[in-house]
Amino acid sequence: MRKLVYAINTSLDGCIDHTKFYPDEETMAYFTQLTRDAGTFLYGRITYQLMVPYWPDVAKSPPGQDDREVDIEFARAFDAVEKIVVFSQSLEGPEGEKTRIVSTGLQDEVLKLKQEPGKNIFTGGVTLASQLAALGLIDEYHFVVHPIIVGEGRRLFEGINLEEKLQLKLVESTVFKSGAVVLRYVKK
Amino acid sequence: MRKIISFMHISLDGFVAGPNGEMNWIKVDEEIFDHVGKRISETDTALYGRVTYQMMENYWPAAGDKPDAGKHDIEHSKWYNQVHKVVLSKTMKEAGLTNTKIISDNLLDSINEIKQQASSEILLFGSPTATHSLIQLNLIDGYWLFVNPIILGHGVPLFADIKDKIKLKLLTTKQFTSGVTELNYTVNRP
Repeated sequence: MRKLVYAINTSLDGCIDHTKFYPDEETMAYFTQLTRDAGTFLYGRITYQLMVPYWPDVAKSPPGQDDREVDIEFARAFDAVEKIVVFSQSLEGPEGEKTRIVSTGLQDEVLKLKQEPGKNIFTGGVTLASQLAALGLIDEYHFVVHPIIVGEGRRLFEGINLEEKLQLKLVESTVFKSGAVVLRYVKK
Repeated sequence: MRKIISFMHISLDGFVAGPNGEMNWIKVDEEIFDHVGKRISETDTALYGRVTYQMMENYWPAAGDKPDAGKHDIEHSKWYNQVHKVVLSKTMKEAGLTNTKIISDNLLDSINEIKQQASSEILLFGSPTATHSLIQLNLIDGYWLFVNPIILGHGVPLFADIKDKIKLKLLTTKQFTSGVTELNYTVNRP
């Protein structure tokens, strides 16, 4: 069965707003690897619209002078994914060969996706990830904790509805030159 | 100038206690006690909010004298009894307390006065409410955090009412057998 992997950039105070801090090159490379290891992306509407069409456009356009090599690498890895499943009650399109929109039955859908052969399922964001975590469906968590306290913006696991505390198992921690720390956990 | 370091156990989602103050999810063991004991033993001043101070006062003065006292109990009790204590409280009175200073008003000046003294760093133990007041006055110089492998969902946050971004410098990290990770930062001041 394939794994559902969640990864997120966060400030030390749990702010995940991508406009408040900028991921360093090692962080981008880390996300590129996670993206390459994934066959399917699973997104809520907000994260989906943040990523698409932004990254596919970067991948398809000629690199500009200001583009970091690591960003282009990430864009290409992102654009190469086989499938994108978007969970949304309001989004109507565009669906295509690669992209499918699902509005109900999160648990069943994810369990079905996990049974399919292929590389990992990868997810990000807040709302959908909180639901997936509460349902016990996330197999691996990667938190990239950046050395800053932001004080505003959407928060990690905001609104999560847990019946009990969710205990995880630490697998490894990695330090980047920027002072960002990757904490990797698996479901207990 | 002496630094004030916030020493906290936190959940992965940034809480220091559950909604009713629960702290039973915090993992501490000999490995962590031994590790934190080194830094604590080099510290001659401890800072507390009233609630945390009263919790400490209820346990540590005599913890080393219990018949079943372990190594950590004996060591920390000894340290606690001789450390200089500073407590933020609007209601407590200093009279009758030993080696304890109560700060009830004029927080900024009172803390800066203590920071000017030539001595060790000051460890701020837990005390979320006091921590929030000190952060607002830009008086915290570092964070010494022990991240527990747990998501609580709700509770008392470590960081609240932050007005401006605070840039940090990561000093060290350490992984413990229990799954706790130490993150040790100083505040980057321009």
